[in-house]
Amino acid sequence: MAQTKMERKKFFSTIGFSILGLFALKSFPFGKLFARNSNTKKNKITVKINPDAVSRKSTGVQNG
Amino acid sequence: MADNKDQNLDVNYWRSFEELNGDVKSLKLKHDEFHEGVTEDFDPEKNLSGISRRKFLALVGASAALAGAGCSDYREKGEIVAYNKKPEEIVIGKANYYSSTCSSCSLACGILIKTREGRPIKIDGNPDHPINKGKICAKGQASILNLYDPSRYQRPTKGNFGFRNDIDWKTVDKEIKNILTTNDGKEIAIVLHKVNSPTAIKVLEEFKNKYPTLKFYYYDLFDDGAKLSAFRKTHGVAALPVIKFEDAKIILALEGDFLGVDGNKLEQGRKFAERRDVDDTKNFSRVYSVEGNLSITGMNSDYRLRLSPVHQYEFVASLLNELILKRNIGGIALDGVAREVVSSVSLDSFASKHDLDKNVLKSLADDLANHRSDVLVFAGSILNEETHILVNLLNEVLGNSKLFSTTEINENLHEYSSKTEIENLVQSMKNGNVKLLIHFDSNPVYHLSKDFDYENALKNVANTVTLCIEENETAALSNYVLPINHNFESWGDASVRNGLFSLLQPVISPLYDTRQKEAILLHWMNDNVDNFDDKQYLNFLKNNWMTNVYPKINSPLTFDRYWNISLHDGVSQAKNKSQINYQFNRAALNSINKPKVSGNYCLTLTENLNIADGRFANNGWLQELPHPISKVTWDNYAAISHQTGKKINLKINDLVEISVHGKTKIFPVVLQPGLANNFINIELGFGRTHCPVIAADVGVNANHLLSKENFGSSNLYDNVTIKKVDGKGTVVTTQEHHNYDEALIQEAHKKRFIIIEGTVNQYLKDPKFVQTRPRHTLKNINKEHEYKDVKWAMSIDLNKCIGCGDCVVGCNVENNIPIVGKDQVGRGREMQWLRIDRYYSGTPENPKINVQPMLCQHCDQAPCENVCPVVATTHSPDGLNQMIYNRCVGTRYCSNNCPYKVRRFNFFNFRDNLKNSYYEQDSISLLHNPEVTVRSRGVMEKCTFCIQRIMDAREEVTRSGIKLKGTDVKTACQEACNTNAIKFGDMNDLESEINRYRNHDLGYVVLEDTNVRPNVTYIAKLRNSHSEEM
Amino acid sequence: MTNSFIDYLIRVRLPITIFVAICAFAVTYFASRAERDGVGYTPDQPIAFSHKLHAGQLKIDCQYCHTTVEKSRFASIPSASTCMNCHVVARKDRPEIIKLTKMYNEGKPILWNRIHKVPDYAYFNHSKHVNKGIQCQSCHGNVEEMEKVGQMNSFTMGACLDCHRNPEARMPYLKNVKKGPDNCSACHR
Repeated sequence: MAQTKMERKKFFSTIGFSILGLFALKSFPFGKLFARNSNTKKNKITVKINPDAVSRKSTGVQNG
Repeated sequence: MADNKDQNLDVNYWRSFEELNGDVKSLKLKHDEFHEGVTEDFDPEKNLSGISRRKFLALVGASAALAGAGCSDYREKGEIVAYNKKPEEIVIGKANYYSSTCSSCSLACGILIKTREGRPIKIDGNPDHPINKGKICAKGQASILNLYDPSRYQRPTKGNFGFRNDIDWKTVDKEIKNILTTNDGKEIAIVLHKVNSPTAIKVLEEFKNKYPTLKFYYYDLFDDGAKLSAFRKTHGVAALPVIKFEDAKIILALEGDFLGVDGNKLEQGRKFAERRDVDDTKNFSRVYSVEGNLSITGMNSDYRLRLSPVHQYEFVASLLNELILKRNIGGIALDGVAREVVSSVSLDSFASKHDLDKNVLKSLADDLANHRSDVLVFAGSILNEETHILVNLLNEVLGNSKLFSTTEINENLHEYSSKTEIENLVQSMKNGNVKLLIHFDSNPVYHLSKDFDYENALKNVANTVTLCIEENETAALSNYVLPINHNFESWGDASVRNGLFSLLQPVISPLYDTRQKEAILLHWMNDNVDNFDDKQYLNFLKNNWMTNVYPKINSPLTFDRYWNISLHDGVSQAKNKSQINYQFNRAALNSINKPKVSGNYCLTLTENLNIADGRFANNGWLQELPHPISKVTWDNYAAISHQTGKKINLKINDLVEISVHGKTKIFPVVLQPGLANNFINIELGFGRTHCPVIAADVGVNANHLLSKENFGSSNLYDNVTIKKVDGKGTVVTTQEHHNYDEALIQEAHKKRFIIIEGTVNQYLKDPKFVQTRPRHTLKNINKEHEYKDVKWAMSIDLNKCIGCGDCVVGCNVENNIPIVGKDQVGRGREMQWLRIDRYYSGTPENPKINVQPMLCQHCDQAPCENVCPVVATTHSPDGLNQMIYNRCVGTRYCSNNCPYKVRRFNFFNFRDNLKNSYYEQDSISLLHNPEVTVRSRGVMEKCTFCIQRIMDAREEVTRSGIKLKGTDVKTACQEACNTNAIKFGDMNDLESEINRYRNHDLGYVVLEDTNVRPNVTYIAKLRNSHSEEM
Repeated sequence: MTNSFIDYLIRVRLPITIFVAICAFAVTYFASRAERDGVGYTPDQPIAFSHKLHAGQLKIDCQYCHTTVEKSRFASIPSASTCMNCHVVARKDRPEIIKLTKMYNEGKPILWNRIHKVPDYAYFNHSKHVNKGIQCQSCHGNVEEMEKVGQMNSFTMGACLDCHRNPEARMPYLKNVKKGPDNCSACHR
């Protein structure tokens, strides 16, 4: 009787701690710590057309 | 005891003595399943928490249902972010094209950059450009990845030896301006690669006027030095002629790869293919290739002889001997040195000495003699100057000047620096006489021979500036590292032929805090460097065109109109071009010395068609593109012949130590069929050390074998030794190394009619030889699809396909193909939808090589469609095999069933898997073609015949009302192929070209006996040999 | 079975079971509403633009603002500058117009809440449909009567195929309309 109670307790505690552990691992970015770091700061990229450029309005002349 | 009633009383079964004796206790034990006391603890009522399993499940179900009651709101569909002010030229969903000029190499081909919503996504050739005529090579196609490379430098940095700090441009400008203007008489050195932009030259000239102590140092790893100096001696001008390959009946290529790295492969390939037209066999050219290395040209030649390049001098002399002395051709009276050279060796004795096929040599000599002015002798840049002089003499003797254009010449805007000048620079650097050293997008620490000791000298210079786009070996040792615009973000021009001018225009404003390299110099000329004007270079460029280009064009338009039209077209040509005077100067022959030939190995350090001089080492698409001949990816290697390999007991991936004039380096070995004996070929551009992560640990740096003495001439080294060392390399190929010993595999591709080959004479005699081959037809068990309207089909002409791989890269860019990395390629998981299969037949010493692009055949009875358990691949009513990614669960049964093995499976999310998700970074998402799904892990993919382009064409005809024609669609591979080997269209259109090719006498399908009815027809290769046999 | 047991069944068990059944059904119905493709989804927008006023009352053509519907796959939401074409003077004292003008002057794009969304793996092409003569209202409902735009029709693949296979029923104003494609690659690439 006591054995099954202990087993049940162990089961639920394992599940509970695993879920806690999962959430903990998800919230702390361990991957970032161990990954090969590049030390370039990342800029936000803005796509802007140069106003002096001249395009071909058509869908391009057929090649080949 | 009661149990005994059930038993057969005739026989008494007992298991123990107790039982036999009728022991009460043992009988009771038999009755109970368990021993006493075992199940005492079990009390269903007592031990459970009071709730039964049933109740528990019921409660869980009910609570789940009630929890779901909380989700009663609509799913959010995200946001649509409209423009604040929409740029006029953007039509959302439609592409816009800009003309520009490619700067992947110095050949300045015209390109059209396709942009979507303001960002460039695909590069194609500019059809208006007279040199490349609408085609661009693999490097040009893949250069779009360099624009969006996450490793690009994003802002200037300053520092020493790896300790770099960000710095802003204003401070940089001020500091550099101070250095420039200090009046100490010390040198300002600027190190550049070949500059083909007249406006950049002007900037440099003005820079020198402003700062008179400026000295220019031009160099390139591959500079055609020996060939140019030979031309200077023989024709008075250090400029290479423009050759009319399309008019040459016979081409003799001497270690010359005109279909690859020697010259403009786009122009030369197109011209070569014009004379490999199966519908015009009378005008088929004949190509002889005499070479030590196996090049693309050698692969596609009609006759090939193996000869180590150190013997080419003697070979050309023997040809001259045969023509002038034996056959009395040429009408040139030779005297002095020339006579001595020519009479020293006869063709016969040369053939015997070097074990060359005498029959082939005889037909070569006959062809040279009979076709004289229609014969082109093309010598590769790797040969030394003396050989080039003899080749020019040979061309002169043949009298083939009509094959050399008299109106066009490949112009160089400046001379390269000599070895002495570089040595002087290094000396000045070491003495501290250089106050500022500017690397103008050049990488001399990587490229120059260690003999120059440039790296150490660099450490002695007080101020070094490197203008570059990403990390390189020279930037790592510089003080100031200034990031420059990619060429698609830059203004500029180029002129590589007389009277031909092309423009570069930016199709996107700089992504990062970078500046154009010419603009940086221009700004440093301003007296006040506080405010950078990003239009200054544009105005300078316009000004230069107004004063120096516009007058030459004789345009009836005003300059402003002309400027806009030139930007629209990308290219501008002067109408009247002056005649080029090509006069052979016999005095050149007096200076030649017969080069000494040792008995040892000969080594050539050549250019890799895709990596160039190392600048594309970080371009995953180019690294993963298999070498056209060896199919090696992500590596360079020492290529040696089979016989040599056997002599030293080498197999693929063994390591060898090569020593060249005292320098040694260890390389992995690849045994390459078709190589000359005692000959090693290694490609440069690998083994980069200070480089972005994709380029790291790729290959071995063979620049360490370069010798100072070969600077400015050619990288042909004699007296080289090779020694086997312990260890194994990790060379990875996409095709197995052909096993010649296995009888089953030998010629399998010919026996199974995967490759069908013949000769021109055979075709003329028996035009149906391909159709009359033994054929099997299986019975049909499937219902046949009906194709009422358009039925898409493709034909690949194996006469025109040279196996270069440009189509593969074009497909990669168009269809967002992921890069998988070296170890995954080793597992056969490369994701390219199109591959070029390369087959050897014959002997390892003299193989015949066939190439065949293999892609999804879009079979009418596709075996892959029948076996998909989730019906993710189906057949369309216009003949395509459709692949639906969102339905695919990744069974891979379809790939299993595909007889051509053209289906590629995403074993990983390869963008996530490679090098720490390198290709998942933000800038790469701008690169993707928005019309093609970006596939993730677990789905199968394959060539779709560019369904996105087909749908685009269908949309267009709905708008215009004209019926859809097959020629409205060009697949990416077809667009990329510069020899036009690939044709695509509607085979139900009886008047179309594709219908003709599908029903061509030389047309066949691969693995016809499987009865899958492919929609890709291959046109059998014809070699133009003298007989009907090969 | 004693009387009290049956009693218990009827008085306790039965109501509970019926109640749970009804709850489950109701929950599923409402939970699947969102799954059933958001028909009726009518979110609030950052600027309370009224199609009823502009397209209905003022009779402005759909394609005046949604310019690319005939040229490309996307119908395209107009940029703020299109609105300002008129609203630089028209009703510029109204609070919504003031909001609009403020956003326009700040250079910030307006973040409209998307209503009609077909999954990424389906590549819908507006211009093909519009160029066949299909009216906007056939799929988007009577937008010119909507104060706030909502999704009126289902955009599931089944709904698309219903129309493709039977276009005459859905769009009686089109003469000589052929069946739309029902092969996979018409939409899925």
